[in-house]
Amino acid sequence: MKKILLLMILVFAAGFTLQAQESVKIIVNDQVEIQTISHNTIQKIYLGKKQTWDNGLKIIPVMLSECPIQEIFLKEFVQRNYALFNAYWLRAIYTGTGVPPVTFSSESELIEYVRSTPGAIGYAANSTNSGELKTLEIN
Amino acid sequence: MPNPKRCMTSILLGMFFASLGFSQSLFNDLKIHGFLSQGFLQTTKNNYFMETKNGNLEYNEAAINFSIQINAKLRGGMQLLSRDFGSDGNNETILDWGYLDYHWKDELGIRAGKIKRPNGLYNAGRDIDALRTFVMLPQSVYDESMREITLSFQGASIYGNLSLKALGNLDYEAYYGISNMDYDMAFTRKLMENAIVQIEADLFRNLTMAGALPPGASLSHRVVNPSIRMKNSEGISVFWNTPVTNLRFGVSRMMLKVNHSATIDFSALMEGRNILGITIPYASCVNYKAMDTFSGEYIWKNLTLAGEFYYTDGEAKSEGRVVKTMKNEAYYGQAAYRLSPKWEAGTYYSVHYINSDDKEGKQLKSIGEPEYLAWQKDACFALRFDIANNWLVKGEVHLINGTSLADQSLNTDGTEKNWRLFALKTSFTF
Repeated sequence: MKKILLLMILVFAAGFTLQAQESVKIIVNDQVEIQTISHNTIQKIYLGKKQTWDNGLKIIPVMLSECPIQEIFLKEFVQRNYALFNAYWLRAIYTGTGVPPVTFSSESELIEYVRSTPGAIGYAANSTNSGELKTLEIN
Repeated sequence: MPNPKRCMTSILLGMFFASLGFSQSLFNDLKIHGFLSQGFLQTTKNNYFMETKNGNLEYNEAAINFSIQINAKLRGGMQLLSRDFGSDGNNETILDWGYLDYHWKDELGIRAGKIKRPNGLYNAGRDIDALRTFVMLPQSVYDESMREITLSFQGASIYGNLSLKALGNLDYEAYYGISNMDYDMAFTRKLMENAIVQIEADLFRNLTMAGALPPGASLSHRVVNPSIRMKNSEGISVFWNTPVTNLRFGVSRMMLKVNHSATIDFSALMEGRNILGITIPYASCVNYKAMDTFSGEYIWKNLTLAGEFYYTDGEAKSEGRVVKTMKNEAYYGQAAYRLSPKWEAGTYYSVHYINSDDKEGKQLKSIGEPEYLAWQKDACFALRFDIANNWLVKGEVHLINGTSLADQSLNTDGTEKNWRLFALKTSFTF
């Protein structure tokens, strides 16, 4: 019985750990003066509909290339799968109406870019150490 | 006389390369993208846009674009496009779009140059295969023979995104400009053919009644000094992004005027001999007072649903009298489902009426024409496979009833009511 209980706890813990890994935090450059951000605003930023922060700074959205964290981010904050998100930006590229977010292949590169680029906004796994970088609260 | 399209391309290229030399940081910000595609069309019974009954590979696009963020608010870019679609394009390289974009604030930006017309869900991106499941857009609303006048314009537009707070937000773009036109275009060919058919019928009747045309004589014609020019065009597109996630509705209106004129030399022929020569000058103004599209789109997880309703209200006037009215009506409903990261399936049902006052073709039947020239109903089933992130292949079958969109000049032996279209295409983007 104890073994079964232990197994159940382990399975539950593993599931919890996976779930914990599957959450995403929104990070911004220090010059971005806000502390909170809404899902709707994040969607507008990543679809190019909002390009300027309230303090006048140009918004520079950045992304990770295809990976589980990107999938979670797109689903939760942009409400599109990768294929639809990609098609949205291909339309902008080939009609000249916009420039897609800058893409990085690793979280460390993305974090470093956000840290050093005024107006930049990006995301990372909640468990990733992003140092002193400002993390926005989602409202 | 210098070709205005080539002049504009040269000027834009010059500006681009001058700007590159101007600043190394600009060069670092230069983005280059492009796409290449090759398609294949085959139909049963009727030719469609080109000689398709035996299959046709005259269906390709190649494009390269350059864009650059000049400063925080100003961006510039251009795209060169080479396209072949039957007798259209013939892989001549043209400036597809090229403009400066000043994004003053999210609510208001200004574009100036050659700009894609924002019309409906798909007009601006109609050449880009990567955007959709289907090879052919629903032709009822996105008729390829109208492409040259509806795709882009040279002029200016204002655009932006307006917040409606709890009610979502609005995307808008309003524009004014003209499109270059010439006699290679399907639209202008059709316009001239319609005019000649009408003038020739009137002339034949009048000459016969006057006894100037003996029985058995026929008329032939030659077009001299044709001229065609878009006088002006303007339009607006507004899309409401509702508070319901990924549900949006839009309305777009285009208006345009085209002047065309020519001298037509008619010859009356009897047993191969020219028995009479008549020259008729012709001038006409085509005025599309409204080309309206009402759109709706909903994305739910891997499913995309879309539908559009389109109608035109136009007329052609010659010497002050209306010689033709253009009252098309069309709609379609479409569904696409992403089955896996590689596979996508889609279907649409598209309906087109060439004259909204004669949807059943009674007027056509009364003059001896088949009634099914009045409509085209198209059920399409498509499958797309993404070989890689930037390379796809797709295929589809269309079950079609009616021939309102089939060019009669490609079907001189007449058309048949029920027919099929098969389309295959592969496309690579970079």
